[in-house]
Amino acid sequence: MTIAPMPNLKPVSHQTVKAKPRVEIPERKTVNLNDPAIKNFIDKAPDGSRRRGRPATGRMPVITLQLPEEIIERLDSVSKSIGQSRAVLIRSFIVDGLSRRS
Amino acid sequence: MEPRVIVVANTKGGVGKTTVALQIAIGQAIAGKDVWYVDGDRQQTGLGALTLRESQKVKTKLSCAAYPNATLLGKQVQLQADKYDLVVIDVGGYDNAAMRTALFVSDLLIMPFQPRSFDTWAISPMTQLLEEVAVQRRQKIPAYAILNCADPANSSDNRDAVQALDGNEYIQYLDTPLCRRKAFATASGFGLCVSELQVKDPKAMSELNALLTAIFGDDAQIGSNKPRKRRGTK
Repeated sequence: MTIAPMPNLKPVSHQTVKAKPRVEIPERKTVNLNDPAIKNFIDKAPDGSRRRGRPATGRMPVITLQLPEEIIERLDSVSKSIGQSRAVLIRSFIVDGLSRRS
Repeated sequence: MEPRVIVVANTKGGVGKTTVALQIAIGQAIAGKDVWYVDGDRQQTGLGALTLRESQKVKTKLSCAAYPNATLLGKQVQLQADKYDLVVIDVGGYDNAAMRTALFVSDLLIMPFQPRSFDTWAISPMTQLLEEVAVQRRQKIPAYAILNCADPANSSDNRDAVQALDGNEYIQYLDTPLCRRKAFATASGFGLCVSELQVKDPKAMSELNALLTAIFGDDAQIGSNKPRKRRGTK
């Protein structure tokens, strides 16, 4: 070899050494924001859209029924003794009565 | 890989999230990137600052949008992120749906905190939140805490605050503090980067450059840290 390569005469401080980022970022995975678990987690935030208060009472239509006080008292004493609500008791009595007729 | 979507968040308010988010976003726009600033904070301070930027004599432009609705924020960021070089999401300083959503659509979390007791107390709830996000994402989000309004003299307060992150599996400390300097507050208030102020603060610029380099590498710098020579001086 007769031709010597040109030496680098730049002082070290003048050489450009590009710094790499120090934060490590993995490959991005697309997250499905409609995933029920993720949606639930987001909605659970204090300002999320999760509904607060009394939960829905079901799909049965609500009716208003007038009853004498004495019947209400008797219903309540039975409902207390069997540990069921007044509404459940009235519903079961109506179902029984209707099934006897048919 | 460079982060494309960054969320600046902390469940503690008043730590300087908007200041940091603005400085990163504008700094990167100055460095030549196409940046989209997404304001997910109900207070919309970032949006206000970037609106003021319009009246300043600066050339660099960046896009800005505000989404107080978390669902809309998540979907829009997922739809539009690839159209920009960088998306910076700023969220409110409490556990909120926008913050949780942003943690699912971001590549990186930057968590500013100050060297004060109340700020270090917030590390625990933030860690719990990140644990839950990691379970749902099936991947930890890279999360880095940076000291904001750090004591310039690197006091024991700075060191104690950093120690509060020791052994934290979800949040790493990024040693690029932004010190308590008027330049950050003044610049951010007008929607400017510290390098765009007429009276430059070289220390503030140097600190921001260190942060941007740590996140994006050397190409991210906002310019020279040296103050310009006054006319007539040698």
